[in-house]
Amino acid sequence: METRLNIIHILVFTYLFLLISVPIARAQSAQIDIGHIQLKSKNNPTSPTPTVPLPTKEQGPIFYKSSVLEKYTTGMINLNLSLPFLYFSALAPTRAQLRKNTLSVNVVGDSSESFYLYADTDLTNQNNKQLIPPTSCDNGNCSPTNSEQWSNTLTYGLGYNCSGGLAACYSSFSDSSMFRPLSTNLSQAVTLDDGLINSVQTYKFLYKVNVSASQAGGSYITNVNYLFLPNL
Amino acid sequence: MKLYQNVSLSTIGWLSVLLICYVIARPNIAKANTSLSVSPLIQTLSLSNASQSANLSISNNGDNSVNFSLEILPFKQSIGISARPILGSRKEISTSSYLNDITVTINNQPFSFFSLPPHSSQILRVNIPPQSKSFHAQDYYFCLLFSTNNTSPLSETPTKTSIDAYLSQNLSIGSLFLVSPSMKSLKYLQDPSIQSIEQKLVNYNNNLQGKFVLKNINNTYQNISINIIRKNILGNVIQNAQLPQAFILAKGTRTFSYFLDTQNDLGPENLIINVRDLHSGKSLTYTRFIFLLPIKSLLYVVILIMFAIFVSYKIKARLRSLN
Repeated sequence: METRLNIIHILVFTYLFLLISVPIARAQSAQIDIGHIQLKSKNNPTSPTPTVPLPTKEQGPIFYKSSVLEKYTTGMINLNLSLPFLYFSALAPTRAQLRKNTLSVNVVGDSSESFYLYADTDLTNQNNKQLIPPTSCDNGNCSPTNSEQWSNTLTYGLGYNCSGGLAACYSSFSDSSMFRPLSTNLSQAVTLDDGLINSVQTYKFLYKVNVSASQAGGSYITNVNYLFLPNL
Repeated sequence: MKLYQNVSLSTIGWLSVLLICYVIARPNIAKANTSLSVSPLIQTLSLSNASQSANLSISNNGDNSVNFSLEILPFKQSIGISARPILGSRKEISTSSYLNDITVTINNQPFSFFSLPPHSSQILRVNIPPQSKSFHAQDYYFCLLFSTNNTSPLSETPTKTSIDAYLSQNLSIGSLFLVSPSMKSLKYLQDPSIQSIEQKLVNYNNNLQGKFVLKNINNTYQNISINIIRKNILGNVIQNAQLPQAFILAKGTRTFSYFLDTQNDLGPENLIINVRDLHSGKSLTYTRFIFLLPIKSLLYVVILIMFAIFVSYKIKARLRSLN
C-alpha cells in the first residue's frame, strides 16, 4: 500500500514539475505548420503581433504601412528563366526529344506566392491547325494533375517533368521518367507550389515531345506560361 | 602508325575548333535567360471622393529586351483552406464595370504593351477613379497581370515537310489590389466571426491539429493576423505560433488549419485562437479546453514502469532466496 502511494506521489510530482518547467524549456523550439506554411513560434508570447516589417536595405522592395494614407504595400518577386524558347527540331516518329529549362524564383517580403503552370493551347500547326496532342503516358492515365510513367516510344504527344521547389514537383514526379500533359486553360492551371514566403526556389523542367508516323509536317507552336500570384 | 597520328592530330584540331566555338558562343547562351522582378505584390487602397493612385515597379534584370502585355482582371476569394485568389477572365468584365475606369500609365501615357530594355526598371502608375464615378459601395479587387510576350520566330515560316515543335516560355506575375470604398469604414470594422472549430486532440505522433473557419461579415476586406496559443492550467504559455497576415475579402469565408507539435505534453490545457484586425487593432479570442494525451510516449512510459517493476520483483525474489 505504501509503495503504491509512493508511486502516485512520484507521478503527481513529476507531472507538476513538467507543467511548471515546460514553458521555459520549450520557448524556442516549437514549430507550427499552418496550411502549407511552416512557421516558428514566438519566443515572447506576450509581445504584440508585429505589423508590416520596416524596409531594410537587404530586402529591397517597399514595405510600409502609413496610418495616414491607410495604404499598405508588400512583397517583391524575382524570376529567372534560363531559356525563353524551347525548340524541338526535325522530330522523327517514335524518337522522342527532350528539352530542359530552369526557373529560379526569389520571393521577398511577407507575401506568400503560388506558382501555376499552363499552356495557351496544345502544340498547334499554325498553317493547318493540326495538333500534337498532350501525352496520355504509357498507361493512358496521366492528366494535367496526375503524372505517370512515359518511356514507351509508341506513346505520342507533349508532356513535362518537374523537379525542385517546395511541394508539388517532388510529390508528383518521383523520377525523370514520370510525365504529365500541360493544362491548356488558365482556370485549370496546375499549382506547382504554394506558400512561397521569403524563399529562393529552383524548378527544373523537362519537356518531352514524341510524334507518330502519321503526324503531318510543319511547325507546331504553343506558349507555356509560368504564373505567379500572391496568396491572400 | 603515321596514319593514326594524322587522324589523332586532325581529331584534336577539330575538337579545338569546337571548344573555341563553344567558349565564344557560351556568353550568348547565358544571355538568353529572362529575368524580371515586380514589386509590390499586394496593395490596399482606400477610396475617398478623390481618385487614388498607386505605383508599381517592374524590372528587367536580364540581358535581352522583354516585351510585356498587361491585363486587368477581377479576382475573388477561393473557398476552403486555400489562400489563392481566383482570377476572373477578361470576358467577365462588362462595359459598365469599374475595371474599365482603371488606367495604368507610364509617364502619364496609357498602354497595354510595353518593352523594357535590358537591366532597366519602370515605374507604372495605377489610377483608380473616385468612388462617385465608379458607383460602388463595396470593396472591389483586381489583379494586374504582367506577362512576357515572346515573338515566335516560327510563326511566319511556310509549310514544311519536317516536324518542328516550339515552346515559347512566358513569365506571368500578378499584383493584387484591394480597394475599399472609404477610409472611414476601415477604422470601424467589426471583428470577423469564428464560425466553427474542429480539433483532433489525440494523435499518435504527439501532434495537435485542427482547423477553424472565419467569416468576414463586413462589406470591406479584413487584413488579419492569427496567433494559436497553448496555455497550461496554471496560465503559462506553452506555445505561441503566429500565422503571417492574411486577407479575408468582404463577406468572404476562409478556413485556416494548424498543426502543432505537442511533443510529450500531457494533461489539460487551453487552446486560444487570437484573431487581430491589423487596421483597427481589434481582436477576437476563442478559447477551447483540451486534454493532451501523448499515446506513443505513454506507451513507452508504461513499458518502462513494467520493466522496472519486473526488475525490482526479481531483485526482491533474489534477496529473499539469499536470506
